[in-house]
Amino acid sequence: MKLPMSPDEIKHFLIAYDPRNGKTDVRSFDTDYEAAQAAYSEAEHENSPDSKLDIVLLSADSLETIEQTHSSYFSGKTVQLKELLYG
Amino acid sequence: MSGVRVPPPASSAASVAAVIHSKSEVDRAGRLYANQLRGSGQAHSKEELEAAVKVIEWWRHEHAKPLSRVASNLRHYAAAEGRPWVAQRLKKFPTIVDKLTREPKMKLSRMADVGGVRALLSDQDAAYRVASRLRRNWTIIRFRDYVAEPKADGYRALHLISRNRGRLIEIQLRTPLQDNWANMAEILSRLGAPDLKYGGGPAYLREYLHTSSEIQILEEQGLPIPPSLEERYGDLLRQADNFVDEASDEPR
Repeated sequence: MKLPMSPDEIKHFLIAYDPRNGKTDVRSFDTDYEAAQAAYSEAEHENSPDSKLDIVLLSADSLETIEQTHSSYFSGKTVQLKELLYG
Repeated sequence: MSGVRVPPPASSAASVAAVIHSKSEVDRAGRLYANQLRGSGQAHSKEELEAAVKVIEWWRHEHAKPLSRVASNLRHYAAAEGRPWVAQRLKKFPTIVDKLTREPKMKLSRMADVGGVRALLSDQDAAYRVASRLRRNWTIIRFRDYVAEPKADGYRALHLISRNRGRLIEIQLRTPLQDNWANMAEILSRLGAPDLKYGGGPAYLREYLHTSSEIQILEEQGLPIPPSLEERYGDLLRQADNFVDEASDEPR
């Protein structure tokens, strides 16, 4: 059975969302999962409890997919509840 | 999440991969770190804590390959239902230890969502079709139908726990409406009500979430929304909007 995409083709993105200004920093690691995971742990260690940065490692075929599936990290600073619910 | 300090790293995720830890070592490390956070049990040295962090990180790293395999397969199954929106995540260190702190009996080696994959499907039937294909073809050790029985807060989705080469991976199947709701709940808790998911936070926010979920269910089923529910919803939405405005203005 041919898979549409092999596990090695998945792309990795380290996301840092700052709730204070609604900015999302995205670091792309392309298909290098090991480098992405090392950077994930490093970013977590460096993140002080007071900074409130929300750091997570997300992976998919593209960043576009992640913006769909994990939209809460891309919502910006001001949100409209109605829009969040009904797009 | 705030309030959780992770000691500085001694090594990268890549270099810890060569070591192997037993499940009881993994459980001990998780418990030691969680107890330290709760301030219960004996005090531990910096070295002990750093060693525990390394074991927890190693355990998360162990999930990366199984997670990618499960996600690739899921992408294949979801592709039969249209454009496959599939993404995977390795659980954040702070939320791993928060969960252990919240649930004192939880063993890290049994935590089923250290590796998690989420698929958005076009509608509920598509989500059920994918779930039954997975259950036929994969080792699914648990299936939770939060559509038939939503969680107390109003959360809806299908959750499956798959075992892949000895590691548990959580699969979430959501419709776009269910996903919108869940992301909204996430944003609200981040805006200043972190306990919302666990029955905490302002009562009107919990009620707002629950009511908006109820309305979505009626909409999905093409049923009319009773005027009393509509009115209640409007009221709660105004309060929730105020909460968002105030939280967004404050420097956080």
